[in-house]
Amino acid sequence: MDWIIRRARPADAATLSELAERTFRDAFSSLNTEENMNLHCAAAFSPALQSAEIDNPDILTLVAESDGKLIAFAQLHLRSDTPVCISTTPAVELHRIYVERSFHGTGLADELLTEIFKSAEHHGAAAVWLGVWEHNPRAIRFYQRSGFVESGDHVFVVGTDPQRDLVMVRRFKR
Amino acid sequence: MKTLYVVRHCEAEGQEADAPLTAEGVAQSHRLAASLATANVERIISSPYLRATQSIAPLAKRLDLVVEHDMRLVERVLCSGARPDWQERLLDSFTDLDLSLEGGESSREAMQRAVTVVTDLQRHPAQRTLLVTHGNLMALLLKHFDDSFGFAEWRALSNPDVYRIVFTRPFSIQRV
Repeated sequence: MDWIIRRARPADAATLSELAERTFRDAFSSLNTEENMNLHCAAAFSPALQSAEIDNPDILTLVAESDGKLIAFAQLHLRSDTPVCISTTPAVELHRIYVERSFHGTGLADELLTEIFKSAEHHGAAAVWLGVWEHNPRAIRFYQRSGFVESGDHVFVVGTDPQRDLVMVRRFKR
Repeated sequence: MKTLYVVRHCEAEGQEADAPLTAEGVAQSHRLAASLATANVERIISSPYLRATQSIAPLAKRLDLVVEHDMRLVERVLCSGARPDWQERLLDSFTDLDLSLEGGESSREAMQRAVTVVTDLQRHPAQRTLLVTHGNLMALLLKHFDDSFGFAEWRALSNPDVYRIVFTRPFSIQRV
């Protein structure tokens, strides 16, 4: 399987919004109510929202493309509030990283993450942090393998459901 | 919705649906209006009980907002009639959410009814909404969002009382 990783462009907004919602639902539908999933998706994904995120200078969106289709994406938030449990500063947030199910296990996620780390360092970050749902062991293992360590927790509301996210951090060696 | 204010009514004459505020309660309602005047509230939804609507009337007038009534915000009924051990049963109801007393609502049922109000708010374009409700239901709604909220926190609620829940990250619940 072949792909390229590149910065998202304004023209990607509609397909990115579809990919983001589809991969989010793939990952979490079985463990959440349909209502909370719908509330979250309505609030988080739409071509207009993804378009605004692509245009936002404080957000860096990378996409992976294969055969002219988007198959994965990752987003760095360069200026989000850093949780108090993160002592390494400046830290940027890996806000989302999702890979189409048929590309799981291909090494694409690792490659995407490597590009994210490069971008983060390029922006002067000393660390990357993220929040991952405590009930997402596959993702937690992936982050651990990639050098992230748990450093605390925070609440992430899906619809009206307050969920506990582990906060993990990956420090860069200087 | 970004921010939700949850307000417990001011001091009232009694527990009945039509029990009015005391004179002190009316004075409190004006101070409440002053303290929330700059919170940029776009929508006010209240339990239709008189002590709730009276508590928020000064703020609504100040902001030129209509107070919407919602029966889902009325007080939780612990059991039918008065019982001398109600405080102990209430304490139990915070640890056993499914405890159901005769003629009453379990904590889970009451909590769910309050949460459906919030679900509706998530579909509405208003970003800052204020709910006016009653002590036990307020405690259960806050407990939904922060499980550490319990009997002691319920007992510490004052008349009036205001909590602010911020849904955008970082999520927070704070007494205002």
